[in-house]
Amino acid sequence: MSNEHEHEHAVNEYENEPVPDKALKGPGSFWGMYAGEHTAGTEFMIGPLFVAYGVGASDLIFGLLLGNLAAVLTWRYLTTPISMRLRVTLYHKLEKICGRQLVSLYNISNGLLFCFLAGAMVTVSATAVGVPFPDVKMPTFSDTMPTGMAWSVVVIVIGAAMTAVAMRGYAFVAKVANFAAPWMFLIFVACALVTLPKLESTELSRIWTGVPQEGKMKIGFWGVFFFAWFCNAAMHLGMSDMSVLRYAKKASCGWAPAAGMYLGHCIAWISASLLFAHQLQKFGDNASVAPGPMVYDAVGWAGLICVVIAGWTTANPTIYRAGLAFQGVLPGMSRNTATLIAGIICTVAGLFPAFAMKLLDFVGIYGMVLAPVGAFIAVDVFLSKKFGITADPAATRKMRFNPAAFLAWVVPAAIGFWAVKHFNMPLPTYATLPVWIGSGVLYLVLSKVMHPAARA
Amino acid sequence: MKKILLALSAAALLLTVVPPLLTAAGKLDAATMKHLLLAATILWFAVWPAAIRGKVS
Repeated sequence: MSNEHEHEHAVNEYENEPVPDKALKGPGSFWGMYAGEHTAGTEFMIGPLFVAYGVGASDLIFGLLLGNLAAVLTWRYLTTPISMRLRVTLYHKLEKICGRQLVSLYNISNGLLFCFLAGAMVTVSATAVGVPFPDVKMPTFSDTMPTGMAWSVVVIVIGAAMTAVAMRGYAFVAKVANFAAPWMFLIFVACALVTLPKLESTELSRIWTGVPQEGKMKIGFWGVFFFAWFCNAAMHLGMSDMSVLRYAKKASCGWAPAAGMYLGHCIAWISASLLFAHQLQKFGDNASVAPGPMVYDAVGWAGLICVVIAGWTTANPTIYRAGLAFQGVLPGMSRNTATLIAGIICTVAGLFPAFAMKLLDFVGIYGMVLAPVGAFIAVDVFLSKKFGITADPAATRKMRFNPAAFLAWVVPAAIGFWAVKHFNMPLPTYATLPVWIGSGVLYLVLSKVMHPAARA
Repeated sequence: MKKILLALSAAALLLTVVPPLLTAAGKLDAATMKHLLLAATILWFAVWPAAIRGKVS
């Protein structure tokens, strides 16, 4: 999972103009940022969820290696070239293609999904803060509602603190995130090192048994592969990372996400899944999935600090970004009010463990809703001339609402949701690529009919 | 001064990795390992921000 706090200051510069040459950055600026932002609090949930979904050892290892490779290649060969060619933010380009009103709809969807994601991070942090308080009942996989008054109080206090900090801007949190990144990664590794000898058996098939927990569908290689590839679909296929990669001096900057994928999404997920495998071997069906107690059991207070910092440094900029998205819809609203609204939604979401416990599903939905707009940009950049459609149709034709883009966004996504349900797919990430391709093709066809290029 | 801070930061990272390794090898009890990890955490946050001051915006 990710946040994009480190370069937020940069994101907010050159919002309405291409990044000038003097502001471009070399690959070194990107490697550390990607490594830090993909070692987040939610990694503590994703690892255990793989175990709960009955992933086998070889499926996990090869799925993670190849799925993360596919994600890196998408960043390198799709997001980076487009970002370097345009050098503008996603919002700027989207407004030219979709029109102001449709961008507002995108902003609302984006803002709400950010709030729910931040809510999952608040839930994860609450499992750590709640450890010293025996009255706090930790959520289990089956919990979707708040587990009690003490739990609710902890979540509300954390949510209020995160919102208050987000309202003051996130420069401080961004610094803490930078400072913490190498230490945090090593705490993940320490968890794995300490847990390995505690396991009844270190045979891989006894750790990742391939047997799903009750109520969970089994996922195998393809489940892990698609999840690793598309858990950040909004960032690469959906072009949200144009905001960052538009600063890339060289195309080789596009390899930087490899640091986040292989440190955060490979090693951290495997470490976190070991923690849960140990709980399962020790307690069977009564095993706790709450990251706080699991990490405390493994490495003590340092682990609790790690869970809180990982959750906080990820949730805080996410709340801030959600506020910015809401402010984009109602520009008259102050940034503080928008952030406060986002913080309240996030805190309420955090009360419900459903978002954290069903994180694999939620992340899939997040990608499927937000990624299709990236297909419009890809079509606009690479195919508009070839197929004779108007580039930047909303800007060229002075439209506030591009119906072609709206239909190409909504119809494939709706079909994707239907297909996930109808074909009983274990995770929504199975449908992300078909939805993205479908959106691109439909946008191309509809644009050809509705907005053909003017003949010279 | 900067070199000392960088050396202390490296020591903090080592202190984050070595005790769990020793515990895994059965050479250090879990309680001591947890104390050392907490000490490493405090040391890291005390020295690393100062060591890289000016590099992180």
